[in-house]
Amino acid sequence: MEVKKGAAAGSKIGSAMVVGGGIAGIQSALDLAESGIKVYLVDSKAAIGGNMVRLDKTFPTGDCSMCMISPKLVAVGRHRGIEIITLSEIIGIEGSEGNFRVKVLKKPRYIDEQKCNGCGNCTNVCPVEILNPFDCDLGLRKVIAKPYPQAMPSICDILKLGHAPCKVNCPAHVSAQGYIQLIKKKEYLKAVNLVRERNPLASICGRVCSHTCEEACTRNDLDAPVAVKWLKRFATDKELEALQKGEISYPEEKTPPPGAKKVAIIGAGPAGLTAANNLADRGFAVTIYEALPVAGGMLAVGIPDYRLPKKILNHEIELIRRKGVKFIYNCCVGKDITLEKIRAEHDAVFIGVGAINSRRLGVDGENFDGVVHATDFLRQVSLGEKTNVRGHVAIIGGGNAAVDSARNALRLGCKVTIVYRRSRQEMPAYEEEIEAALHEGVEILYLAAPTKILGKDGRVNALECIKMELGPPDKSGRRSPVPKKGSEFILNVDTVIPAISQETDLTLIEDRNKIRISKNNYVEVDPKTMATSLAGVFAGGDVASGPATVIEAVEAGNRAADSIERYLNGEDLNALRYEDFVKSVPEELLPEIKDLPIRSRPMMGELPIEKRIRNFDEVETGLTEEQALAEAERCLNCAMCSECKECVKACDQNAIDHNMTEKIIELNVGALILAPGYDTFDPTLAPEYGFGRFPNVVTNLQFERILSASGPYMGEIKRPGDGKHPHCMAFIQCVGSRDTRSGGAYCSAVCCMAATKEAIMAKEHEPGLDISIFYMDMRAFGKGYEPYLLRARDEAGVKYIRSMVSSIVEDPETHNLTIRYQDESGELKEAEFDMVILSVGLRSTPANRRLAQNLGVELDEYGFARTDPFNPIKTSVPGIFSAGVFSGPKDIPETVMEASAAAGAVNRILGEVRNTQIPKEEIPPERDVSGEEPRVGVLVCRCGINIAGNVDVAAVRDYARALPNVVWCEEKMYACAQDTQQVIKDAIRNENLNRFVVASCTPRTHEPLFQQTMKEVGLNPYLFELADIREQCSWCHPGLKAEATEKAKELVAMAVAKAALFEPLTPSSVTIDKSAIIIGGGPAGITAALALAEQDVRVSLIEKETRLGGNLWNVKYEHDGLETAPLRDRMIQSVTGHPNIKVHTGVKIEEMKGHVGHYKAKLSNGESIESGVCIVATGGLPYKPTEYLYGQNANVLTQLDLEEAIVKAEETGKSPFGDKSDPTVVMIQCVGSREPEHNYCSRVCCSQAIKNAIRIKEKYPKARIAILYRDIRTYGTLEDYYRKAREMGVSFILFDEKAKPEVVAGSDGRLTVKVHDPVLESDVTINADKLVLSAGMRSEPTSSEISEALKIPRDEWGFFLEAHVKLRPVDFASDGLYLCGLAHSPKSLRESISQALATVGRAMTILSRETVETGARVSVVDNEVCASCLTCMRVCPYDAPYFDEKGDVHIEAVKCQGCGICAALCPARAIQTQGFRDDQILAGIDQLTCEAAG
Amino acid sequence: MSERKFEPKIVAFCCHYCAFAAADLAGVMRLSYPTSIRIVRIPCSGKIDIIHIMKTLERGADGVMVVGCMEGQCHFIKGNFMARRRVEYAKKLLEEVGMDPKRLEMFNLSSSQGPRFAEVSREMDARIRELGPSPLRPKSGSNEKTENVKVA
Repeated sequence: MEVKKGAAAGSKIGSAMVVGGGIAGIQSALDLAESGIKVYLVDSKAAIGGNMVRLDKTFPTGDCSMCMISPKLVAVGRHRGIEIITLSEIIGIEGSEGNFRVKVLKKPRYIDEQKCNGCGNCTNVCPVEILNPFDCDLGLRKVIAKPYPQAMPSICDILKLGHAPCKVNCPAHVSAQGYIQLIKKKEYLKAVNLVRERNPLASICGRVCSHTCEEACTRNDLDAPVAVKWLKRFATDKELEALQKGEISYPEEKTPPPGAKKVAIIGAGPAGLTAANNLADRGFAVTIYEALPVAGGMLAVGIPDYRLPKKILNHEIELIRRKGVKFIYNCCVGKDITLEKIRAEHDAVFIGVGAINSRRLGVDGENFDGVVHATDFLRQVSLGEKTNVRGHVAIIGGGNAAVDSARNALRLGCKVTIVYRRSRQEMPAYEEEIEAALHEGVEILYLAAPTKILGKDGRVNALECIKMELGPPDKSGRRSPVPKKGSEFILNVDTVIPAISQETDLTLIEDRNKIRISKNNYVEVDPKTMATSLAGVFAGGDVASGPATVIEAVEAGNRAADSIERYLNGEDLNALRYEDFVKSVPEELLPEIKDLPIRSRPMMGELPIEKRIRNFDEVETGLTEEQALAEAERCLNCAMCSECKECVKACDQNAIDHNMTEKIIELNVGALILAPGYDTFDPTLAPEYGFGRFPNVVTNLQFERILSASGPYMGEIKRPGDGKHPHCMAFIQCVGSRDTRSGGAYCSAVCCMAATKEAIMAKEHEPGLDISIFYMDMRAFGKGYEPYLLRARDEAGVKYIRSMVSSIVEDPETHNLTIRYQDESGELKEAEFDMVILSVGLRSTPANRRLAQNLGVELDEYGFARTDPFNPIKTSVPGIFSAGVFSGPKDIPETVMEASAAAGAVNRILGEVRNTQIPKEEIPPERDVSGEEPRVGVLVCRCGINIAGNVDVAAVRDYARALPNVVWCEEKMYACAQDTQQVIKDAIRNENLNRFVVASCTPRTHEPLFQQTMKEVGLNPYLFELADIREQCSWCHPGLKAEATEKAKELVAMAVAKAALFEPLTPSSVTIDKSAIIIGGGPAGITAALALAEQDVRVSLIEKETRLGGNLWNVKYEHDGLETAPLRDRMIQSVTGHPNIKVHTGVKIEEMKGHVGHYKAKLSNGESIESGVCIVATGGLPYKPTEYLYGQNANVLTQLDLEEAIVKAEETGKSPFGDKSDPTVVMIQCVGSREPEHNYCSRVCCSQAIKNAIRIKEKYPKARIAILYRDIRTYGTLEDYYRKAREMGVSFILFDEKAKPEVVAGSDGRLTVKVHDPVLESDVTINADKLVLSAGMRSEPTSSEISEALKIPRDEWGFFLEAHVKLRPVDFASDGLYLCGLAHSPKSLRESISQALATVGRAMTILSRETVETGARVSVVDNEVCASCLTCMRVCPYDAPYFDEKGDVHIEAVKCQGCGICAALCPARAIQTQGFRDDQILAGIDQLTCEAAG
Repeated sequence: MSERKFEPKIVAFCCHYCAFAAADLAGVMRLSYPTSIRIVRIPCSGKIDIIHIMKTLERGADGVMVVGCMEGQCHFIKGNFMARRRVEYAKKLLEEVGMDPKRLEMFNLSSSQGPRFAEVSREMDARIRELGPSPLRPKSGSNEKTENVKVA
């Protein structure tokens, strides 16, 4: 365990943990870090960015999602106060608010995050392509790659689920998936080398392996396993072919290094060969002692040539020999030399002598001439010796030795009968061998066992057998044979070959006290380490395990070699070993096979019978290349990463470690913000929509990727099924939302607008596209949403169909989709589309539930965090806050607001320990370079092969060396590497450089790194320039190396020319007045005031009315019945009594001047106040209707009037309905909202009407309530109240905007409401006791004055306009000015409070500091030239230019954002933008346009 | 007619936030576009000055592209609208001095439009190839700019 920071218990820690790296986490992290609190940003994924990075555009502005978020990704990545911890999950917590100890489990990336520089060399060589999760499985990605191009951290990750079943089930754990992938890429030699890493007998095992890998293949459950063994053989055959053609040659012969430790291997069988091979590789001097004249053991003298040609065996033995292994043949240890002597002469010994003696049958007649034991027979045939086998041969046994003997005897011209005591099913020989034997003419007599061998003249002439039957299963699980009494019969034979089993010959072991022998006569070894009971002596293969397979012997050799190396190095034999890292893929993560097409396994080619049964030629001829490639395609890549290790070879940084394991990190933080985001609903759980079965049904997130220019189809709208362009498509809303069956009864809040946006974008891509949206209620409730919706409907021509969709049916030929639905009149209809997009809902995730459980945070029934009713970011645990969808579905602006609010809340707790955890930057004083001639250093980066592969880097370097002012120029493998930074520093010092240019990659990500290096060596960071010769040369001009090189030279020349003209730039700093002006004393303003005051900010709270509280006087209770009056009173009391808050009531702001840090306001009472920031919380007004007899008839109320009446009635006990217990109440929605002149939704009225309806129903159960509506917009979990109202019997009647309800009052004042009900298709008339109007929200009339005084913009309805609708929802474009509450747009009380807290989070990024630095690349005015024409003042978006006392124009550096718009428009050219001065730009352009580079 | 094959030089002024990022992405996605395109980074397309455009052409560039954010999405609120107006104006000036205004064009891209960046680059390259070398191009083999027509 790694403990990061320690602290005494109880003391506060100035750091916070933000969980989740989506837009919420990013915003919280930046706000916190900016205000001096160290942040650990923990994300479960390999890169931050969340879901927003996958979106194409955002509503309602159509902004590119990536454009907005990528600068923030970069900002997080380079912030000193933020540490990103990826692939991590919280598993435990201790402590309390202010001081928590959090346990984080970090999963392995398999790549060292410090070393990887994201160069992508690994991605290029990776052979495995899988469905890309970033593209929602529509495109492909390599398993080692950056999660997405702009990923932060900008490094690769490996998608690895464990190890494939084939690899796990192989005794030697050879990466079958890996070499199959390499075969797929025709990298045959690499494939063979990969096999040989774990198994030096690759060619041999390609022929004779028991292929347990295939038994485990996932395809077994679908069609047939991948032919792994044959593929291996195919690759090794290609190697031999290349050798024969001279394309490759045998490696040089090696000798062991001098002084190498000596290891003796006894027995040159597969175990011994493998151990020898591995030990020679590791630098030991290995000698093999072999009793036979040949190497290979049973491979040489057991397996017949027609299965394993000698050529193949010798090839692999030769490869081992060339590694420096010495073979001593005809040396039988125990006879020709003692084991003792060998031990004395070597440092370690491995015994791998096998089990080569045939076991005797134990029947009479076994000594007759003509009884030849299988091992002897096979050896004689292999060595070409004369055998004593002839005539009719009976072979006893059913294993491979029996079948091999049978087929050998057949080839010698004999008639062959195998006698086996059980049935075919139990035969242990390989199935294909038995098949081949039968095919060649071998007979098998099942259920028969020999009882006696008969002979004449000392030679066998018959075999007496007895019939057997199968009894109950024995220990091996096979049914045991039982003799049938009296069933003896005679078989006339000339030869008997017993092949029932093999035994060891352990004569070499003299002292059995030292090396223990088991009772089965095997050498006893530790099965993990292969160590015998005698130190330094190891054993493996058949001698230790009993007769087994080649691959098991290979594994024994592997293990023994590992152990011997450890033994000789004095290391622990039992410490983590290779096998310990091999973990199988969890079953639930194995590839889904049920919908995969069946694909057959190839047939192996064979020699025809007549060509093979009289000789020993190899029977199997191998797969053709075509077969092999097709077969390799069948591999399902079960583990994703196949561990082919090509990436390891390609990585220059040595960053890849496939054996990385998870680790636990413990972090000490003062508070946590939980922003882990959401998953989308899995539409396969709603099978009626056919997702997963119909290829042209996609989710809206998939459609975002389809629309994205960098998505799987490069922004072309295509059907995933066939790539055709659709002509008509449909969106289905509420898939998994507002649906009690699917567990998502709530509204997901974003899908209506998302679908609308996607429809508009699709229309922009293909204007002719016909798009329908099937919906229940169109919920366009946010700021700017309603006009956007109308634009989609009225301008883009998107069809909105109010309906309930029942199912989708696919036409099997065209793959078009028919939607069956019920329209608003209840009629069943059908419509056909080319493509259907499912607007899937937002869901909590299993990981979120785990997180909540581990932290003790309460969740609601849907798995969203339960938060404080009047503080939407406060969870049930003090010190732990929530942001974004973790507490319920919401859109991006609200998410960002909550993120800032949560940061504000953390600031309240940790304000006193700010700036204690972020490491201070140590930078030397800056060198004065004024008056010096430019001395430019240039470093040209090769970026591995990324640049060097397609740009002649040396030529660029030589060219740069000759450029004017260049005094130092070198090339480097990686400019961004840590050691290169030292090279740059040394060069700057040694050569006295005063400008520096790096020619490498994009400045967007790498400029800050090199600027930091400049700072560290005492040079001003603005004396640096970057030339991008990767993105702009090597990568975008593939195959044009000469041209790319010429262009690179020009870009470098441009950078050098510009740099020579650079001057040091120093940001000026402004001091910060730690105070705030808050305009508006409603709930938003009060919330902000209190939160700031608690952090020692002096607050002036300005309220134009005489009392504080704003709309809290109007709204009486919340949906859950919670009364607001206590909250209001508490709020007012706390601000009025607070020492840091000065309340000014009955006054207005008349004028405001200054900038961030120093604002100066003049009040209407003549007072003048100053502040560092200003928060606008001026509120809004409820609309006073003029329609529907409001103000004319006492029974016509607004919802607020009703609320007041209800509360009053509850206090007085007098019913608002008189003595009527069954009053009829009609409510009309959208009064004054969604009208041409007020074309926005007032957001709160639907839930307000429902809230009041429920309250009435609870009090007067017999009341009849009808709500006349256009769309019910109960977003998020407010939907629960809508459902509750329906369940309570409140009726909802739809009306069309063109057929509004009509209200008439009778002479008695009684009201009649008439409305056309489209569901009933008739007019409905209701006599109402009360008519309640859901009147909308209006902007505050005085906001125009504020707008002028503060120079802040408003929208067409008078609500203030934030800096950016999506990502800066509480900021104004000018720093230090913030916005919250109804002044921004209509919203609920909770939302106002949340937004107010967000302004606090944002304001504290300024107020937590003593000073704020301005930008350095700002515009400056030359007053000598300036004609005071005011152009700059007119065009500046930030109000930065101003007149000083002398009347000269200046640009306020603290306000200037460096866009340069003023400089471009200044008629006198008096303005220059630093770093982009005209002379600098033009000097660069000179280099691009002159011919010098050519 | 020149014997040497005409290889155009096109200077692309790209705003930092969108256009430059789109060019980055084109590179990251290994999208191929003509080598004639040379990118000059500017903070905002609104920073582009008539002088920069004219001097670039005067010094022999065969074409100039100004590439900014999508309309309405300028990082600096309205810079790209100003740039467009200026490009339109510069085109008129070009016409007046007898240079084909098609040598200059403004494009709007979002940062995720790597493919579109490559596409407009190809379009511009094709257009300039059709127009042929700039009349102000320095004669090869000579360092003098013989047709040094002052346009600004």
